[in-house]
Amino acid sequence: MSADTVNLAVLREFLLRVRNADGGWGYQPGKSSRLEPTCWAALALGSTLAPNALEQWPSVDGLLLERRGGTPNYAFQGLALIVLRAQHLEHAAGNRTLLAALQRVKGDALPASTINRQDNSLQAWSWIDGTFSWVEPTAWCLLALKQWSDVPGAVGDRDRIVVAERMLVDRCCAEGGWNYGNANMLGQELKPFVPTTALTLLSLQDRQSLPAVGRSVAFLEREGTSERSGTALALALMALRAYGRATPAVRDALVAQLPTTLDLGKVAAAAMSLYALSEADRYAAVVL
Amino acid sequence: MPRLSSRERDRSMRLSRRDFVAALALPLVASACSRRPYRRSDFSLPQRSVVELLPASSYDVDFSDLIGRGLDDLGVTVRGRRVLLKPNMVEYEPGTAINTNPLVVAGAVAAFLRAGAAEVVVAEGPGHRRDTEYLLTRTGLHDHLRDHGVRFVDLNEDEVEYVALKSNFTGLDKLALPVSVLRSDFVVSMPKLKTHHWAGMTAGMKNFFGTVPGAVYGWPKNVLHAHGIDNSILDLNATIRPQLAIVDAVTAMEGDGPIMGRPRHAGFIAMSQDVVAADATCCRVIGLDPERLPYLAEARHFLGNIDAPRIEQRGERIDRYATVFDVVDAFKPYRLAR
Repeated sequence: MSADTVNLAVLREFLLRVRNADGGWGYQPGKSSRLEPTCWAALALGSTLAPNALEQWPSVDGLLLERRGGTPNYAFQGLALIVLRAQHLEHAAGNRTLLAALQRVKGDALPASTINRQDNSLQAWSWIDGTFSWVEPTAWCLLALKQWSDVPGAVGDRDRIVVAERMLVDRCCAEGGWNYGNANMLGQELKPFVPTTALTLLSLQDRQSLPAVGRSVAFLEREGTSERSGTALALALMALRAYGRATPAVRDALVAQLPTTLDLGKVAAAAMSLYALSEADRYAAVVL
Repeated sequence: MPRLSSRERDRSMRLSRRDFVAALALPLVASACSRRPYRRSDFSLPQRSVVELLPASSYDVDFSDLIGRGLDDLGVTVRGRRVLLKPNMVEYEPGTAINTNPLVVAGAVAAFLRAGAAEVVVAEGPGHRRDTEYLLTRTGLHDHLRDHGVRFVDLNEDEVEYVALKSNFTGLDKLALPVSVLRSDFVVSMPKLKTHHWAGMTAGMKNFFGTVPGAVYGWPKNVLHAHGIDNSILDLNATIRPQLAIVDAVTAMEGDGPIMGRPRHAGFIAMSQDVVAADATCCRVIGLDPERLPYLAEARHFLGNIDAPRIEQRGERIDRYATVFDVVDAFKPYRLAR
């Protein structure tokens, strides 16, 4: 049995072992089910190993709750829609209802900024209601809308895609790549990070001619192994593969990181690692 | 800062947001009302607060011993109690002073275990970089915790409970907070001493922004910014009621903190059972006037002492470390007259 096969088996066994009785996954073993780790575990294990808790995940007015009894989280709703589509699942409220709700919500508009160089009028997606647009939620929601755009009538407002792309380009760091929200602050250029860059590149796969995308792919190729964590390396592996770049170093780094990810009990990161390493569906869920 | 009427509060919240965006460090919202937004009977100010300034010229000192001596001198007892250490872990950048040094955290872990704590956990919920696996690995904290058999709790992802806020400066009434914090017997704020471009200074009190769960509120915890940074600091501290501050001021940060500032050697660890007094002392050390920092000026009324006559300095004197840290322009008027 190859080392790769052993690693995948260990990750699978871990995820199956820490699954909750309600069919979902918590961020840590033994913790209550949350939307983000449940999405990743479902994606990594596939519908045969993980009869899906997502279909019955609690929602209000088409917005998925981050946890039972909690509040909506737009980023994870984007992720959930990607998983639902990849696994051909239908949420109890209807996938189109979830999509419509996601297109209805947006980050707050803010007055023109005097502290950084960015366009605050661009309303993409925030993490939660009543806050301003941020890179991660925008990238997840943008990728979700693009994944669903080939389904007739599913994406009703294409302006949301246009504005989200503009917002992400606007927030691209000077050297390429993305920080978490701003590219500069109080006169200082901010540094890009690997996971945010990888995720944003996934959402802009169909816009490879944009200079911001070119700079960011170069950053990720250069720095893809610089942030050692299951999350950063798994996303980097998926993004570089989506752009047709070589990935052996990132893959090796991800394998080397697995013991730490598991030691810390990081369920979502373990699931991301399994999905990234197994390549079972050639990343169909996140590749446009 | 008295409590605001709903109309005033709405207006102040709009102001807070605008001011946040404009990078202005405004004082707490003012009002003609005199009633403060908490029940006085819920709080009792200590007559006198002890703050220890313990010399640590570098990170080579034995922090287990140093902090252990501080605990003894302060009369802290944790035998049989569940202790939660809340360091400041925000971002990793080599050669900077962004995070509480892992050696200080590890020293505290050892000291509390030696003092008979039933359990010690280290917990943090970074405000923008949510990949704690990366931060733990890169800072080296993961190795230290593993050596001590101590677990780390990612407060951004912890189980949460909604709790009524013990003060209501933000107008939020309640907040979802991590159960690891709520169910601890003894909460220790372990910040890095830094200047802060929105709050003036971040130390023991501001450190509790890291307890607000990102999975619930998103990043960078905008709910706190939108309702006023100073207001949020007050409500969090009034509700969590930390029992101790251990401030890492061996190498501190000045300038455009909490991330982009410059390291500045300060050479001490501050400890106090009055987190407000610890912050006020740190403030004086770096040349800021605690009476002018809005959250400290308000905290003096119900959370702790900031007046010098009510603070007993032990260990080293403030004069030994007193200096003037560089701050962003908005906080230059807040400097002590020396």
